[in-house]
Order: sequence, then structure tokens, then C-alpha cells
Amino acid sequence: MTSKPLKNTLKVHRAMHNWTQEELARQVSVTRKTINTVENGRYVPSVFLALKIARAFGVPVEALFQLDDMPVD
Amino acid sequence: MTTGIEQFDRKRLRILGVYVASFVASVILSLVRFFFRASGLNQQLVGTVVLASLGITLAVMVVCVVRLALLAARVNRDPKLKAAFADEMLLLLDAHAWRAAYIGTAVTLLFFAIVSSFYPVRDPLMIALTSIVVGAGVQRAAFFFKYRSL
Repeated sequence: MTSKPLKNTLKVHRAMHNWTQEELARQVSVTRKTINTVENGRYVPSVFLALKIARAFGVPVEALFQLDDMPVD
Repeated sequence: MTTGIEQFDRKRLRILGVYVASFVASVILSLVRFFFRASGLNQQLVGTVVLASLGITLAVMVVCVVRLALLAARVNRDPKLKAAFADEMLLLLDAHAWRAAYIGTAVTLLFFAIVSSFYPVRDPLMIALTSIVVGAGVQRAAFFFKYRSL
């Protein structure tokens, strides 16, 4: 629940797929609130959830989540 | 588009909100009644009004608990809802809420311990039940506020 130095590109990938947060939540079987908190960096997902989200988008997990001191591809 | 899961979540949160409001009101009214008892005000009209209000808040809490239990049963029956509401963030919030419940129960017991120094407290059953009710209420309140704050 703490804010950690983890950036993500969920919003970008959602836009590319034209998915709402609800749609992504449905794809990975979580609530929209969970997707919202992950996307806004208020919640750091487990490896399991991060992998599920990455699989839903068809991208490697590193394309979605990066440490704050790493450059985004 | 709002999915069934989202609608269900909102409904659950709405009921939880009503429960928390009733819980807070019932705690305040219980405290008022507790101190009224010491000063003999419970036998007067104001005491009756407080008692009736307390009864209403408790009834609302019971209705909310039943409705939440029915929703929980629905979650268990529906695989999609079950998957969505067993998500890791909700489980983490739930764990935090239980910690708050434990603290709430401990604080209630401490309150009675301190108050017993000034007022005669001779009903251990009332203390035990109050601590349990407060613990349960704090658990739901902590979940509700934490969830809303995210």
C-alpha cells in the first residue's frame, strides 16, 4: 500500500488497446479499484498480478513496470 | 460501460458506508447512555430518546450485516465475482482492517479499565460484548475508509 519507486505504463497500454480500467480489471479478474490504484502508483502489485496484466496486454512485464531510476523504453 | 462487478462493488461499498455511519452513531450513543446511567438520566425522557436512537442504529447495523452476508454468499456462488473480490489488494486491505479491529478492541478494554477507576463498572458481559461489537465495527470502518481513500 506504500508508494514505492515504481513507474508503470498501464495507461498508455490501455489506450493502445482502447480498454477502460473496468475492461482490464475484467481481463485479469480484479476490481477496477485495484487497476486504478496500480495505475496511479498507489499500490504496488504482486509479481503474479503484474504478470497477469502483462499477459493481458501481450507484452513483457518490464514494458509495463519499471523502477523509478530506470529509463522507459 | 459499467460491469456487474463494478455495480456490485458500489452496492457493497454503499451498504458498508451505511453500516459504518450507524456504527459510529451507536458508539456515541452507547457512550452517552453509559454516562447517563451514572448520572441517573437514563430514566428521564432524554435517556429514552437516546435508547430509542441506539435501538435504531443497532437495527440498521443488523440489516447491513445481513445484506453484506447475502452479498458475500452471492460472491461465493459466482466464480467471476469470487475471483474479482479475492484480489490481492482487497485481501491486503482486509488484513489491515483486522489489525485495526484488534487495536479497536484493545482500546475499548483500556477505556473500560480507566473508566472503572471513576465509575462503578460491574457488568463484565457488557464490556466483553461492547469490545467485540467495537472490534467488528472498527474492522469494517477501517476497510471502508482505506478503500475509499485509494
